[in-house]
Amino acid sequence: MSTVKIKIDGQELEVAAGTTIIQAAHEQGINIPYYCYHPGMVPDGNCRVCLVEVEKAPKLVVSCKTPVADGMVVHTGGEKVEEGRKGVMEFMLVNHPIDCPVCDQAGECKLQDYYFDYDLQDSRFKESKVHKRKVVELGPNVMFDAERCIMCSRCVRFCRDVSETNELGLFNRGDRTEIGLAPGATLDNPYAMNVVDICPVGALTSRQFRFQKRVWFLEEQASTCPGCARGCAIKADFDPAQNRVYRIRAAKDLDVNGYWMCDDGRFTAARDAENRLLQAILPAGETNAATWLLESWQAADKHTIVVDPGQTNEVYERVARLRDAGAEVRVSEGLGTAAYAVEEDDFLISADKNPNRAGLQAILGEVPAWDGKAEGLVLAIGRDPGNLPAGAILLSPWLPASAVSAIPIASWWETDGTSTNLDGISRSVQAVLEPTADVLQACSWLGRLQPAEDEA
Amino acid sequence: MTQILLDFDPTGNCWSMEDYKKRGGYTALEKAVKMDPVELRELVKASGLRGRGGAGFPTGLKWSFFPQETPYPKYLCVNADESEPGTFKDRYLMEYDPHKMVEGAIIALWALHADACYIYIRGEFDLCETRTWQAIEEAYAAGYLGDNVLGTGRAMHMYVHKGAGAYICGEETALMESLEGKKGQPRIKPPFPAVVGIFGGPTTINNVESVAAVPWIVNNGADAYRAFGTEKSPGTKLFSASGHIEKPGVYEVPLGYPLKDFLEKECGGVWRGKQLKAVIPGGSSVPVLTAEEALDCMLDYEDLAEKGSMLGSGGFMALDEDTSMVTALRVLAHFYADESCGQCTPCREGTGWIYKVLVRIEQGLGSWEDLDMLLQTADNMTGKTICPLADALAMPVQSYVTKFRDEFEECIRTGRPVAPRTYFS
Repeated sequence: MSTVKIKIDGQELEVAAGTTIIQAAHEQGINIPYYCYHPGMVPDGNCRVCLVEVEKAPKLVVSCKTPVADGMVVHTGGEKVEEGRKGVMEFMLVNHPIDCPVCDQAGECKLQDYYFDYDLQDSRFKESKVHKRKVVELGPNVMFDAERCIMCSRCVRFCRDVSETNELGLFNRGDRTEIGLAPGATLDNPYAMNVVDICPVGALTSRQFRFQKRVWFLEEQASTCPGCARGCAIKADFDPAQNRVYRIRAAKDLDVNGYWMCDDGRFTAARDAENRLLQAILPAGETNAATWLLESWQAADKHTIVVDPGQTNEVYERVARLRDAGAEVRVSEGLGTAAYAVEEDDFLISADKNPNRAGLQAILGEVPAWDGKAEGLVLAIGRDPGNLPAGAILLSPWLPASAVSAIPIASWWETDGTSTNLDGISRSVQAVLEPTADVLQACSWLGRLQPAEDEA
Repeated sequence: MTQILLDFDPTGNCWSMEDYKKRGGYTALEKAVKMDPVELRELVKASGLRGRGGAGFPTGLKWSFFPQETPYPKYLCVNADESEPGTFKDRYLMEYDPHKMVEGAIIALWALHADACYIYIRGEFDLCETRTWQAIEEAYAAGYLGDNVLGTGRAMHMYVHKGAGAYICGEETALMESLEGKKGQPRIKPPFPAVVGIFGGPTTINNVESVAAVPWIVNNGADAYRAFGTEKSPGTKLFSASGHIEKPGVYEVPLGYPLKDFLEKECGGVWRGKQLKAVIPGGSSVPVLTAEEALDCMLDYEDLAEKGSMLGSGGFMALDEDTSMVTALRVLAHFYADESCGQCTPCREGTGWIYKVLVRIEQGLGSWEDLDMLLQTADNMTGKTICPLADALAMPVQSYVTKFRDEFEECIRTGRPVAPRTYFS
C-alpha cells in the first residue's frame, strides 16, 4: 500500500494514499469540525464546515472529499479557515429555529458545540425564517422536524447505502429543501433508528426517547447488546440517580457491527427491566437464600444445571467447574424469534436472539438440550425455560414462570463480564446499572457452590 | 458580415434536413469521417473555439482531455439547458437550425471516438425538443447516425433527454446527475467529467453553440475561423439581446465587436429615446456595467474580464435610465434563491437571505448595516460552494451594490419603497 508525505498544521505525516484530509487529521487527533461527513458512509461534502486551507490551492477545500497528495501542506486553522468556518456557521444558523429549550439534541448538538468552538457571533439575520413541518412521523420510531434539519443528507445516505431501503429523499430545492419519505414509504426498516444516532441536530428524534431526559443528566457506559448473537457494541445512556437506562446508541466496533445497530437491540434494556425478580422466593419457613441454596446443593447427590445461552462467559466457566465436580449440564432454548420483527438478515441481525451461545459452546462444548427430565436437584440459570420440575431452583433476573423457588441475580445490564458473538469475537459486557441490594451476581452464587482451588 | 451560425432564413422551413443540405449541410460530416480523429481534435484546437455556454473554456483543449483508453462507453453531452437569464441563443439555434447542432455533435463524437451523445434540453423547451428529435430522426434516416455511420463501421447514437425545470441542471455535473435520473445536484470535482462522467464513463460536455460552430470550422479550416474575432477570442458569437432596446433578438457578431456598435446598430439603440443606465453583457450572473463603462467595452472574453465583467453566455441586457437597480437586483436574487439546489450550506441559505434583505430594502424597510452586510454575505458565499451558483449571485450583488450604491442608500434614507416603473410615460 503506497503512502504519501503530507504536512498538517506543521506536523509531518506519512499517510496511506487515498486517505482524505479529514481522515488523516482525525487519525492524529487533529479536530476538524464536520456535519455531513460520517466515517461509516461515503462522504458527501455538502455542509462545507470541514473547509481547510491547502497551500497552492486557489480556494479552501472540503477535507472530507479531498484525498491527500504527496507534498500537500494543510492548515486546519488560521485566519482564512476561521473566516470560512464562521461564514458557513452563520449560514447554518440563518434559518435554523432556536428550539434549544425544547429540542432533545441540546447538550449533544453539533450546532451548539461548533457555535461555541468556532463562531460566537451575534445573528445578523433580521428576516423571517423559512418555516417547514415540525412534527412529522417518519416511522414507528422516528420523528422529524424539518425546520431543524441542516440538510446534511446523512439520513438519506444511510437509507440508500447502509440499510439499502431508500425510504428517505430530499425534496424541493434551495432553502425550501426538506427531507421526506418516498411516496408510499414509511421509515420502518430494522435499522431506522440509526438515523437518529447520526443526525447532528435535533431534526430526527427517537419517539421513545424524546422529551424523556435531558442528556446532561445521563451518563454513558459502553457495553455489548444482548439482543442477538451479533453482540453489537453499544453505548447505554443512563441516569445514575434513577438507576435506569434511557437510551441505547450504537458504538463503533469495526469487527462486529461497524457503526450501526438494529432497532430491536435498542429496546433490550427496557425489555430486561420488566418483570424483575427482586426478592428470593423460598420454600415455606426458609429465610436465608444463601444458606438454603448451599444446604440444598450439598444435600442432593445428583445435580443438573440448566443454563440459557444468554449468560456471560464467566458464568459458563463457573458452570464448567461444577460439571467437573460431577454436575450434569443442559442448555435451555433461551429466547426465540417470536417477539422480533426481523428473524435474520445479511447485515447485523442474527436469528439467534441470545447473546452468548458461542461462548457457551466454546467453554462447555456440545451440551445436550434441556428437555424437562432430570435426576437430582435442578438448578436453572437465566430465563425460566418453562418446564422446570417442582423442587427446581431458578437463579434469574426475572420472575419465574412456574411455582419453583427462585433467587434473584443481576441482569445483563448489571453485570461485568465477557461474551462471544457468532463470529467468535469476544467483547466486554460492562455493568451499566447498580443491582438492588439483595440481588447478587450469578457468578457469585455459582462460586459459592463450587469454589475454585484458589477461592475456597 | 459572414454568418457562421445564423445562415438560415427563419421565415422558411429552415429546420428540415432538406433546407440544411441546400445550405451545404452534412458536407462537413462527410469530410470529418475521412479525417483521423486526432487530426480533427487538433483542427478544433487550432481554431481557438472557446466554450460558448459561459465559461469560455477552449473546446479543443477540453476534447484533448478525453481519454481514449477506457473500459467504459464514452459519451458526449450537449448542454442545451439554457437557463441563464437573458440568454435565448441556444433556443433560437435549436428551433431554427437543429441540424447544425446535430451535425456538429456527430463530428464531435467522431473526433472524441465516443459512442453516444445525449442532448440535455431544458424542460420548458418543447419546440426545441420536437425539432431536435425530428432532426435526429432525419439524420438516422440519412445514415449520419446509427450502427454504421456513413459506412465507416463506427456506431454513433444520439438521444434527447429533457430536463424538468431547474437552472442548476445547466451546471455540467448537475446535468449529469439529472441525466442519470437522480436529483440535479452538482458533484464535487475532482473527479472531472472527462474521467468519471455519466454512468461512470468519460464524458465531454459542450454547449449547443460551441458544437454548432464545428461544421463550419471543419469545412473552412482553423485559419478562416480565426479571421474573425480577436487573437484570444477567435470566431463569432451569438448574442441574445433584450431589455430596453429597439430591436431585441439573437445576433451573430465577431468577437471583439465594440459594445457601443452592437447597441446602436444591431440592437437599434436604447428604446423610446431613453438614456442608457447599465448593461449586463453576458447573462445575469456577470457583474453589471455602468453605461459609461459599457460603452467603452469590446464584446470578447478578455476585454470584458479586464473591465470587471464577463462575456458569459452572451445574454446581453440593456437597462435604461428609469430602471431601479434595487428592483433589478431583487428580481435577480429571487431567481438564484429559487434555483439554488440546496445541497451546500452557503448557497442554500445565502441566496434566500440576500433575497429577503433586498425585498426589505426595496420596500423602504432597509437599514444602514444592510448594504455592508449584503457585501459581506456575498463574499462569504464566494469560493466555498460546490458549484458557482453562489458566485453567480455574489457577483451581481457586489457589482450592483458597489456601482449603484446611491440608489440603495436612497431607499434606506427615504424609507420609501421603490416606485414601480410606469411603462407608458
